[in-house]
Amino acid sequence: MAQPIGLHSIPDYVLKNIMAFLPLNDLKAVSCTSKRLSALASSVIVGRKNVALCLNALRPHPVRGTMEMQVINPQFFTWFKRQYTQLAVDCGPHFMTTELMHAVQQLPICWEIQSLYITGEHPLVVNNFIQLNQSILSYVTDMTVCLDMKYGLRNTANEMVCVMPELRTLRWLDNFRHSPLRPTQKLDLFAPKLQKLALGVSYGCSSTLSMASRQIGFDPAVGYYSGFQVLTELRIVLCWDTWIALRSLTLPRLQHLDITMMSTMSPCQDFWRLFARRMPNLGHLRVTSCNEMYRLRLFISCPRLETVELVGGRIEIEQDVYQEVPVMRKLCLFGCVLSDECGTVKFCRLESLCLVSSWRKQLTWTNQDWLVPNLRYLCIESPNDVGINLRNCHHLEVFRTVVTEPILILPFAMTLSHLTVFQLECRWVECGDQVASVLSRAPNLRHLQMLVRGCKLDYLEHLPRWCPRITSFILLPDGNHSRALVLKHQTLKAEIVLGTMLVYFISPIPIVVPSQVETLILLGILCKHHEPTVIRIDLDHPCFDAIRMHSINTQNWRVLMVNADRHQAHMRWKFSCDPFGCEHIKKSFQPWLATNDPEPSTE
Amino acid sequence: MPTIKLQSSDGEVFDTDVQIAKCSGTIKTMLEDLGMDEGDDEVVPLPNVNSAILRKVLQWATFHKDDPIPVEDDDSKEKRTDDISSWDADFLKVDQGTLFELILAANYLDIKGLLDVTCKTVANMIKGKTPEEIRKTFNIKNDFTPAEEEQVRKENEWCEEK
Repeated sequence: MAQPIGLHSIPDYVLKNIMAFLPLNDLKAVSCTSKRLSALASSVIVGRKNVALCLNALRPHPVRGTMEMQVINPQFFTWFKRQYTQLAVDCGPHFMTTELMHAVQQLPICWEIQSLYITGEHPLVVNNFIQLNQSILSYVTDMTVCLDMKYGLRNTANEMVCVMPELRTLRWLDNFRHSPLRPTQKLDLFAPKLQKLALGVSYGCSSTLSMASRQIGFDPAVGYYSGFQVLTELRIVLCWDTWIALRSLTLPRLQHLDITMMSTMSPCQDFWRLFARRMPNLGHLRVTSCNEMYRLRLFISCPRLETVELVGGRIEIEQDVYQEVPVMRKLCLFGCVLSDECGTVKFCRLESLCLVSSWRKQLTWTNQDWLVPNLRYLCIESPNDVGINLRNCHHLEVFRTVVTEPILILPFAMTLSHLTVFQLECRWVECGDQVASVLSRAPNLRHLQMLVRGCKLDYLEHLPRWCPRITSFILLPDGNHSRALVLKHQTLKAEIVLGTMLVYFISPIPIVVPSQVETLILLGILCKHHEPTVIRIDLDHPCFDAIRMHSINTQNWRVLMVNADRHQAHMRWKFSCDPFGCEHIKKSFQPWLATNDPEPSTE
Repeated sequence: MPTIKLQSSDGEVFDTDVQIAKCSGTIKTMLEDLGMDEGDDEVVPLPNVNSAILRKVLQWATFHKDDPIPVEDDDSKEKRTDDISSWDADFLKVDQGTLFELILAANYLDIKGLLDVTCKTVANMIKGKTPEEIRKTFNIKNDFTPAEEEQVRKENEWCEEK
């Protein structure tokens, strides 16, 4: 008799697909059920990028119950079924124990170890560890090192050389406090194929990874360079010594550079003056600093620099000079001071501009014009006017802004005929004229999203006339100020009918729904909880659930309701456009991201 | 609207909208390779899918006919299982045999969306269970000797996420 269809009937690769959805602990459980599932789960476990075989680990002692470092028994390797490619080790305070050294030496030769995770308290343990089994460990391609030690060691070498000829990616995190009384040991890493380096240093620490550039060995054909000649991506937290090292490096293939400056030191002008020459292929630059000063011409001199993100600092332009920025396509400034000089800058290819808390400080401004003929995405978030005249942005497609005071959002003369997405946060009661000035010039607007705090919204009655092609409109009141929202009955009667969608607030006024409307989305505050709530009514499925709809005449409608507090709203609503690609900007978008089709769960 | 005829393993013929049928990579390839036109009266045989399961598959495909094409996932990471839509969750409230038949049909017909959602459902049935509970849920025979099982457990102990 044929066996009924069950898990045994499923082919191996489909079972692996199922296992791809399981976290490690469940995979371990599956691997204990039967031989077939064990083999499949093992291959999934070994294939996971973040799963490693730990050579030692803190475990509770079976008798004493205290947490103790236990080392793997090397005899286990003889019957281990999995071919591990990733190893993790905690090298301990100074050097490794005999037990651990023995385990490292006994690693099976057939394992092709590609990744190492090393934690320790001293940079030289990295070299010691690799030396223990060079035939396996020298050839890893990916290494992560976390070091944590207060002071340098006495009676040890100050420097060691570690050769890793196949290393491609290195993440190195130092929490190593320099003491003037003790030496700071350093590791010279010679990794001629290194492509990605992330070098982090805690505040007040010095780096224990030497970035010096030099040759070792006597055979020039074999000689290794630590000069990072093929490095393409560098993320670095700059302390004094890494800063000095970076100044002297030439990185011919570097494409991505992400710098975080930890102090207010400023030996930087030399670096910025030369960085275009030393990094001729740099395409993406991100700098986080307190008071760094950048001259715009520095960026102009980089022939391939397309993306610039600056967090903090000051941007200087030339006084009374017309400058052209020919290559840059994306500029994001967060908390930057903009130059007070007057002048004109033309960003020939700039497509995306993001100005967050960045503006000119001077009260009596002279004209500073930015010509952005190819601008498509614009984000301005500032407590006051940024003080820059943005001109020629006729191709603007996505615009996000915050209105906090009576300022001109975009010049009236500018046509906004390409604008399709408008995301607006109103924090000023009388914002109507400014918002209307944008809406009335955007005949092709399709998506409007508004977060409002106590604003009058009477102008919305003109919306269907101004923006006849609008297809989605999300209106979200701020939770703390919801009571100040005013939508007059006349406005409601004008019926904000947007294609097949109608947007409305929870209100005590019955809604008259036009015949072409298929879906009704209500946004508002639940009386009891004062939480933003999204209610979606699908008019195609007439049935009635009026549990929480006491204020609205919704007979014969099926009501789907979801308490969309801000977190849920973020989880459920997809971000359909990401013009700026910046996580913290995304966070500020979260409650009301582009949500053409929010999909609430049925309650 | 153009239709084609799909024949299940037990002989039942389903007159199906072509667009819906083409959710299946297998049927799409068959139509292209065999040069079958939409107006043809020829029947596409599906010998690995019975009528009950084919009906369910077509129901799923009809509901999801406008979905975007799913992107390939990165198999080296754990994937989410908490994003099953409420419709799919209701649709997959079936007995285990039907669920596995749907997986086999989705695999045979090459419907990635259905395969993913059914696999997620099975993964959710596994999550949080002990090996014994998993065996019991899926009627798996334990073919390990006690020593072998202990070895797997020991190996698992030294395997961790980083």
